[in-house]
Amino acid sequence: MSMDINTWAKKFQELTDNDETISAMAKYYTCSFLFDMGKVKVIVEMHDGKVKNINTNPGGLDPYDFALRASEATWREFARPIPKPMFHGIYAASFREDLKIEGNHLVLMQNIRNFIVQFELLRKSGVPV
Amino acid sequence: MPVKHHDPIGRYVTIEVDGKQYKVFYLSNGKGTPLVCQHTAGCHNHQWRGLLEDDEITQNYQVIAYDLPRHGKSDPPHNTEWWKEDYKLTAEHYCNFIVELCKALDLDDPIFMGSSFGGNVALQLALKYPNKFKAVIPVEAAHYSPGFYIDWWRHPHANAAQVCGSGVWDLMAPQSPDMDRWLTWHYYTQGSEAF
Repeated sequence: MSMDINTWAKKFQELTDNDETISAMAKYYTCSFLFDMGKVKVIVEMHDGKVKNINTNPGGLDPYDFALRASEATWREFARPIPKPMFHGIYAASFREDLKIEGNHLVLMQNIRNFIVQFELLRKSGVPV
Repeated sequence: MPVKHHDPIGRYVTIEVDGKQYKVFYLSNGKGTPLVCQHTAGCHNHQWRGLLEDDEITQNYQVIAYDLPRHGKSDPPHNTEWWKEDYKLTAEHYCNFIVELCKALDLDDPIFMGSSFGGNVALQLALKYPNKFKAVIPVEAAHYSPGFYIDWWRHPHANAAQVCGSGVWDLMAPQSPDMDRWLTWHYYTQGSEAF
């Protein structure tokens, strides 16, 4: 059973803001990204390593730097405590599964170290699908 | 915590391969059949840190973990203006390098072990130089790889070190110990230009 979107957002924010690995290199971790989980879409706005806002009902013109789009089933795989092979990272899932990474890839690459650490927090927060 | 001195020693050897002069760094420990170890692309010989100090292995094998030129402590060639050229490693030059290194170190019937692109060259050595090696051990190798160029590693607006380190994150199982995963990440932040 998936969790309520606002519960998820609060949990994901807490995990991010308290993560020591992100905090160790937080300065300049500033970007925004869309998680497209099918029926559910969220925009996470980061500023200097902390969550500035999680937009749980984004409108068509709400901006973000890059997007990760995949089926609900794939997002649930990302959220397993130990994901199955090919769901264990964004490169693996985009090469071998249905994850699409779109938007400004340069911004993703500029923030890749912190982003992949934060992405793995889904294994603790779960996903709202 | 008491001071600990470790057994592996590091040394340089200068060799010439296809007209290029290389000063090659290697770590060595153990006695017995030479076990020559090739690290993965963009990385360096610290990948073999466990093997170099494994009591059981080093009782019967001399582990020799070298840094390929442009990796770790092995410089680009000292007799060319390499900064004016695009770096391309051909299978032929790669094989020639390994054969010349083993000859320079006077190794008797060595075993060659390589990972990733090191595994690929292990297969090439078996094909082209079967009489120069006792055995080859290809680790995570492929007999064919389509290959690709990863421009993000060289993008001047990205942090190439972190792009490189994070680019290999998915090559490690999530259950692997955090220390080992982050050490691999750390090694790769040092190798973005060659990778």
